[in-house]
Amino acid sequence: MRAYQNVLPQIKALGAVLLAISPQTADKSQATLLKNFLQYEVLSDVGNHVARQFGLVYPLNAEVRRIYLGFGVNLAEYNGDESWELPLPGSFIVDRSMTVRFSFVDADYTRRLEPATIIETLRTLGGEGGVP
Amino acid sequence: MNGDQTRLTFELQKELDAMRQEYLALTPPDIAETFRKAAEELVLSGIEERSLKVGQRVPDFVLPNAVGRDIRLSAVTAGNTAVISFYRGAW
Repeated sequence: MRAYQNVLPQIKALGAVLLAISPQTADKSQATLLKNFLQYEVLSDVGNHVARQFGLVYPLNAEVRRIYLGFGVNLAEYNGDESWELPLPGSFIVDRSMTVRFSFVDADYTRRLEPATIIETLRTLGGEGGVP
Repeated sequence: MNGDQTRLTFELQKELDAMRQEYLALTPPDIAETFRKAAEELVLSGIEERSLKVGQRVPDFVLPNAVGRDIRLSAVTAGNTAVISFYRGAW
């Protein structure tokens, strides 16, 4: 998430607002913000309701849960529910008519959209006149 | 400006790949194998194909921010383009 902080001035300059969404409780999100000096909205989607509407939610299997717990990561506590579900990392650019103009979703969750690609895409969309 | 952009490109993936190498070096093989299998199952589940696509409408939502203030997507998009990024959490 720190990588996005670096391009935040450019995102703002292109007339866009960055919203980060995670299933963490608001308290945990605040800790993340403070720890990483993030200056954008980090929204708390407890229960993954919004992520589900984006088609991104999956459950961790029992074996993976055991390993997480062994690492001291109790997702039930971080996320405030017992579901052990997570959203697939994904990024979307949404225009004023609430239509997806760009999406990046990769089931290999070690991959992420390069922030530079967001900037390029915003610039291209702006150039088309479709997104101010 | 262009120089900055070039530097930014692929920086994140490089950092993540380096973290991955470090993780593989530190993680017992059986645990790494469990994660590898789970990741493979996730790809095979077709989740990627089921996600929202370009041209589709996003359902409006209201979610609390880090200080508990409600943020409504349609209020954001009324004046701005929104960049929405889902992440798993910081743990």
